[in-house]
Amino acid sequence: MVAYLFLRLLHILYASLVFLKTSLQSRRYSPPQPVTAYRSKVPKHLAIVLVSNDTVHSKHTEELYLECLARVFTWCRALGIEQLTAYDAEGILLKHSDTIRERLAHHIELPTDESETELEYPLTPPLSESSESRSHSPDFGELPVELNVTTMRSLKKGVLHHKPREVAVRRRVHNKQSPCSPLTLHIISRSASKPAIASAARCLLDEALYRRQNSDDPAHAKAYQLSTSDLNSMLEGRSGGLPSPDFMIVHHVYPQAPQPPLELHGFPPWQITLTEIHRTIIRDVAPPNHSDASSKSLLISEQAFCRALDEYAGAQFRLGR
Amino acid sequence: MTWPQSFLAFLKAQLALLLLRVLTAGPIPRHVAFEMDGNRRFARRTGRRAVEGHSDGFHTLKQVLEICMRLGIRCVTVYAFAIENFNRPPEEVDALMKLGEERLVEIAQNGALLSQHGIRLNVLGQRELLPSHVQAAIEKAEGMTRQNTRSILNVCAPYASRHEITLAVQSVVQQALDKEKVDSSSITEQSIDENLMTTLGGSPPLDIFVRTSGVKRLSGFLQWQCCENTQIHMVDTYWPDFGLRDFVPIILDYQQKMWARSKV
Repeated sequence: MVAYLFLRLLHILYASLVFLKTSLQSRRYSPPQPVTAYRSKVPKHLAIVLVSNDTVHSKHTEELYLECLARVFTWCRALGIEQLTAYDAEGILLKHSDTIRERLAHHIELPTDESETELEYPLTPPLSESSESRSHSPDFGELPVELNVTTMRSLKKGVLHHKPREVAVRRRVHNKQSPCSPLTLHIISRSASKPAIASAARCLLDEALYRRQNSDDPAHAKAYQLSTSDLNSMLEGRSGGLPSPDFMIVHHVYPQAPQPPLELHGFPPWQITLTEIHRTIIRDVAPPNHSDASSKSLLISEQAFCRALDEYAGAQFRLGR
Repeated sequence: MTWPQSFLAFLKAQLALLLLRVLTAGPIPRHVAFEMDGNRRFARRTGRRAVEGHSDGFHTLKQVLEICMRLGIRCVTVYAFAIENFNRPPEEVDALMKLGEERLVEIAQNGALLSQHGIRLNVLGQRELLPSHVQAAIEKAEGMTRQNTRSILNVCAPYASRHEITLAVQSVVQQALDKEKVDSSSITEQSIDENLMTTLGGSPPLDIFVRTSGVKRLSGFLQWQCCENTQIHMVDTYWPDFGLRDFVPIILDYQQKMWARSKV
């Protein structure tokens, strides 16, 4: 009992220290570079993870998520980021994928009348029907497995009108990205996470069973072998799969102060091997005149996005060496 | 050490023990994982070779393990060597292999750290990639601690999370194929989870994931285990410097989460 009281005291002490530290940090707060500033490294594939309190699950949360996604989508297009994955554990975004499609089509600027912007769902490859088409080693990228990834692509047809912009997007890389380059959007929920791997496993079982039944010596089947690259082709390298993001931003729409430790909220585990992870800080999304940040809901601000990009640009990769 | 210095050291140790006792009055995580990064940079900071940093890192591992045992954390997993680390300069790889070979047996001896706390050693990963003398040492060390039941130490070497997940998927498919009546509905995320190396070794779900040296990636460590309901701490401290100062706040954060959850 005495120990428990001391523990509570320790927690109070800790909370006070954290509060002090955060206050000192906000005094020394320095804003990040603007969106279109030069950065030595920009992710090719960005993932945004949207989190809300477990108990709050309202229309308001849905609106917040949709607005956050719209903002991030616009910034990604401005920076030439080629792929964006939007994840929320509960599947709110997935539920509203049609609304998202409409809204994003409106969000995109139309510089001239000739150019057209549309969002389309890429064609799903036809399932292989004839049994003769199955070779001895299956093309793992073509096995029919439902991975629960909704993918949309924004296209730009016609001539892009070059208006003089205030700041140009410049990068060390040679490719000249226009301010509104094509962007592939993947919308996922927890169903694309561990359940999708289970789904792939079931598909592999069907495939193995078929091969065993059609083999020359079904009674003496060899031990089942699966390689990492084959499973990777199934989960990532196909239409309907989800490639690995370079960078992940975790954003809480109802932030708490002090912020609890980072969690990944069930994001697909296969794809996060080398993903740089960042969480938005309250100071960036809640300007100082918000007296009670915890009760307010907070959209992801341009500042928060920029700070994330600054951090990504500064990250070092040693790749095991 | 002079008399006042040794007295201060004694006092410091006693205070640390007291602090740990106080912490055990609250919720304690079941399973904590450490990605022990920063050994080489730590050594370079003081102008020493990378290999010496690894030696310091091992010393810290023993200390952190001691802290975990005193706190009552029943399972600790550490990332000792990634499959990718074979890309490192051969002298460094050889030195790491030698370190692993000698030290694992050292701590598994009677009366040493693992037996003191009843810790069973599991070495997880693609063991066949290791030199045969290292494999032999691992088997010896595991054998010496097999009867321990109080706690578990998982040493991942050489390990890659995708490889672990692939093996688990391979296992569930093989198990389904082996049944009389093949039923694909028996393959679920739970059955894959049960076939992960960590679970097969008796590890509970992962509560806390710590990576040192300021890197903000998982780099192929415990991806399946940490992607849900796990608190992730990326601390700037280099691994050899990691200690109570970094670890106590991590435990306090965990306790706050558990208390908040019990209120709901």
